[in-house]
Amino acid sequence: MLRDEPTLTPLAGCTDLYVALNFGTLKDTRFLDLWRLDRLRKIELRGGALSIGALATFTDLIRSTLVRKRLPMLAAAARDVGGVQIQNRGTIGGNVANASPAGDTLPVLAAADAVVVLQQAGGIRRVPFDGFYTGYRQTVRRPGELIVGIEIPPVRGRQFFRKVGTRAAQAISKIVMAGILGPATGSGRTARIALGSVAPTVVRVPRTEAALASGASIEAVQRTLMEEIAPIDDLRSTAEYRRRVAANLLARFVCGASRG
Amino acid sequence: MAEKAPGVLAVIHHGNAPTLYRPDNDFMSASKPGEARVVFEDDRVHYSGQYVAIIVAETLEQARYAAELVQVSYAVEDPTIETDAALDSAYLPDEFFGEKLTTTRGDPDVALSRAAVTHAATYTTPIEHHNPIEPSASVAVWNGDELTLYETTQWVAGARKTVAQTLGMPEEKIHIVSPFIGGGFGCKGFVWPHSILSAVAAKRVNRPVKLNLTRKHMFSACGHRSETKQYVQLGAERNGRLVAIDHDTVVQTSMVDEFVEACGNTSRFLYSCPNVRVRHRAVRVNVATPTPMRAPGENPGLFALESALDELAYLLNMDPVELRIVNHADVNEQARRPWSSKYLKECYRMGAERFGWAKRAPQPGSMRDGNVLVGWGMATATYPGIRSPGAAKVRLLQDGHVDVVSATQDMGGGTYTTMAQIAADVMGIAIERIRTVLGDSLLPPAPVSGGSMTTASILPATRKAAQDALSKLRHLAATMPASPFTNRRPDDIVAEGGRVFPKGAHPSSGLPYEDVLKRTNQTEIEGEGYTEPGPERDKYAFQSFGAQFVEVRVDPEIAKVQISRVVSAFDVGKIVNAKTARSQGYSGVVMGVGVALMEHTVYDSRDGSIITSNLADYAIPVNADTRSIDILFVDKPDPFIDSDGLGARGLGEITVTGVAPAVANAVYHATGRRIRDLPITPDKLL
Amino acid sequence: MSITPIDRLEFIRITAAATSVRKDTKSGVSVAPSASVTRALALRVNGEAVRLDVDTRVTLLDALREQLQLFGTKKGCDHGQCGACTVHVNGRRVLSCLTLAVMHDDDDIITVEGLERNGVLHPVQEAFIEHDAFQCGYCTAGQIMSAAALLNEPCGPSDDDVREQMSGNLCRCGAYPNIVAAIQSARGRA
Repeated sequence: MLRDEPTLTPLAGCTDLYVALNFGTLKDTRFLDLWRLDRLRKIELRGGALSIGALATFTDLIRSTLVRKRLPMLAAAARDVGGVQIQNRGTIGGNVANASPAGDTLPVLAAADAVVVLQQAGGIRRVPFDGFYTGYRQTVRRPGELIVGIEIPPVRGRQFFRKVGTRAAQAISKIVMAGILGPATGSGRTARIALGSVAPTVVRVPRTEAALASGASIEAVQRTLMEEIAPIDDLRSTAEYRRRVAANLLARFVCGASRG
Repeated sequence: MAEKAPGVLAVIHHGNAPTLYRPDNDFMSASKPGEARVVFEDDRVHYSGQYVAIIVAETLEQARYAAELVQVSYAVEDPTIETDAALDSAYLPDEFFGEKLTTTRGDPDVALSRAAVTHAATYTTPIEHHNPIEPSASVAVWNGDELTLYETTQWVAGARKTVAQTLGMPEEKIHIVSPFIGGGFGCKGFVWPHSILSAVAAKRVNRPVKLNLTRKHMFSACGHRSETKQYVQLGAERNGRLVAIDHDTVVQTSMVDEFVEACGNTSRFLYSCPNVRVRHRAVRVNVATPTPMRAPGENPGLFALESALDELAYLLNMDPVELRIVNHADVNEQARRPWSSKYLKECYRMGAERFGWAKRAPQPGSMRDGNVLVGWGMATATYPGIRSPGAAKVRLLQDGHVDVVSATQDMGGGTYTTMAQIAADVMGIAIERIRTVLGDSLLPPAPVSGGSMTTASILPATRKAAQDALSKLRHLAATMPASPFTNRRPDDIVAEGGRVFPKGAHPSSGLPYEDVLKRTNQTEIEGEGYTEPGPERDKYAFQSFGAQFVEVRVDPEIAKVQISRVVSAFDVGKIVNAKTARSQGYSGVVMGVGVALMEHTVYDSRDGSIITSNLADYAIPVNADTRSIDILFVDKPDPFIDSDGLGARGLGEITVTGVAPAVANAVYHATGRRIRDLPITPDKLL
Repeated sequence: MSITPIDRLEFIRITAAATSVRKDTKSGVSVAPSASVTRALALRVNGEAVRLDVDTRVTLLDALREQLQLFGTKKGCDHGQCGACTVHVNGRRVLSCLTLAVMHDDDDIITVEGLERNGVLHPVQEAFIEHDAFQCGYCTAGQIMSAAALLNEPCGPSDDDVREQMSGNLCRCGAYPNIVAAIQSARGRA
């Protein structure tokens, strides 16, 4: 169907899309309801990777023992999405497709080197998360393609997730950070760090990761991070705040406490 | 194009609207539109969100679709949005709601120049929106030349008169019905254009029309609290005694009406001080007209004054509570009248004790819990003890039920409950037998549900009406032939506890109330009650007081404030109902948390549009933003507020007034950072 | 006097993309046609089988209120941010303003009207009354539907756990302390 009419907007939980409709920011007016495609809701291990169907809801993620065991930071991120009513309808595929720089689960997927599985009539292709977003609310998804799942290779190391929002819960993020800190190897430590709400898309910070791997002091790593990201002033916070809090969260992550 | 869209019945705009008339725009005579300009009056757009057309269709979806097709052409001009951009044209409004806006007592300039310790700073508060969860709505039904409006109004009497004047109709032809209001906080106090539009539309299409505001409309179509900039100067002696207060406020008003957020009025009398100057200036901006929002004036005004007091306490190295006690105003020095009753010192004592204030280490940053910075702050709360004329009726029915009716409203404060409670008390019957009917302009007149005046205005009237019903019942009993009351005069008959019986006899010798009606073939007895403020208003100053104590916890890494504990103690006279009063306490504190930490409407200064016109970008507190909240009451009657011995002042607004400054003071105590610009968001604190 | 430009009536921006969805029940997939159409739906509302013809642009919330006359479910924001429209769909609490009615063929919907059984209030309803857990009452149906769902959700025992789980329901009257107390008491009873 998507092949026949590629401008159709796929829709499932509606928790983002319908808001866009209401605000008039969404111009496409024809939709494809996917909600009942239950096979796209599975969370399972496939070939060593954690495979999450695109229609898995945030509640599904929170309650999945597999997710909690393999990727607890994803369950933590899902818990910070909206209220429970949103968690019951909103899906991980929708969060990825909606491509908001503030999407709560996106830094987790970026840090975890997730792979986005796209399907169209011609077959399936897999896109590394790092290359999925091309700009503000832009992705490599082609018209006629559908996000059917997310695959996450095994993750080794300590996981970290932290969202700073406008209020204590049901908040839009001022900044969100996810990270995986590998075991110390020689001088430094392997780390994979991703941030949301600091750039037009969710971003990884390779220079910061390299600084950590090289064994640089935490202060030096923080400086690198503050140079590496280029947040902006907007409604929800200031660039300065985001930069400094990113550095503070990084220190908390690297120096000890896990989920704050 | 919109006119031809499926289901469309009418498209009404400036070019084809019926003639509408500007109402008197006078609060005191119950003619108060939200803004003086009548909808569709001219072809100019004065602010973003102004109505330019209304579409009536068979269904909501069809109306929405047709609205999309409307094309509006206009010449673009540059708007004025920021206060600073309009400062050159600031003017001095004279009066607002009967209060002088600029006054001087003594000589503050000399006193400031000679004061041992002075403090001066500018405090700012942003535009805030009421955002009741129920959006405003109006359903208009015409019956010939008579109009019934089903409304979401805090003032059915005001709505009736104002709508009548706007439509050019006699008041008697208009019926306003508003039995329940899903929160108002001020934005449903006056008549806003949607009520006029629904009436006009219903007339045009000759059938009932429903008009609901969307959440986005709630940011432009029913008022807001103005932004304020307040320059406060304090002078004090070394012992803390204030010698000068200068409170200079700039507020915004719209291009089409005048509304002044009177921040400084309270500064004239809250503390004892010989030299006080208060000034308000207004600037006109291309924003919709502001309107009262819970504790208008006091809420932003106390943020400035009570923050300044806290700063002064640090300069004096004095405990903030002690500084306030040293400056306690034993009389209202502005009005030169004694207080009708005042237990503010008791509020400080009760609040401090419950909070554990004595254990406070004064040095900022000195109280920690691990990595978390802990701060304790406090502020005085206050709001006037307003009272208006009001009427109620109490009807005793043959089936034993009692109707208590008044054209007052209940927007959640508990008027239904307290009126029933008062009537039940007077009549000595179970509250289950009482039915309260409110929010209908056909009922006995009552004031706006605002200004915390309902309790003091309506409960005495209710009490009087219940007493009148019993008196009429005794008179009726005296007419009963062949009864226990034969040959008894009404004065020799007692009506209490649900029974009518001869004075001196056992109640069981008499009859239940309803039997008197049955045996005299009366369907009902109607007691009437009307009460109004009297000469006591010229003798005393009526004011409620309170003290609010706040504990904040600040995570230094993210500079985020969590309000972990709030203790509030209030002197609002006698507490009529402990449960509903406590709920009003919670209510004000929760809204205060929003004011202190998150609420802020943001406009785009390029085109005047509102960027935060939804409930995600305009954050209000969620459940997890509140923790422990304690509400205490002195609970001593005000002997002069009413002549009926109730002694209760209202408490809808005072509960919010001290929260934001107490939070700001606690944040300073936790972090050493003084935030003088609300809300206290993390970026200001990092 | 300067003038603020405004492109259109407020109605317009808010309603820019009203739409329609056509449902193909065989594949479980719906397709949206370009013109407004009406669809037949069969669902269960408060235990009763209901057949509806809905404009495909209608939200579940509007269908419940306008077509089924179930006015207990409230519209507070119409964009998923206040929780006043919370209902149960197939046992889970969701926001009825954020979902189109046509997507609920064959679903089991419970609204606040369906909570009481044989005239007996749900324990959460009883507890809300006992603890004065509402003031104006407008958010209350949503609060109660969330609270009733919470009783069957994994939720920690503390007041803070309840506060977090209830943060999808705004109460502008600030009844939160009483709402938490009511839920804790209902949990104790359930």
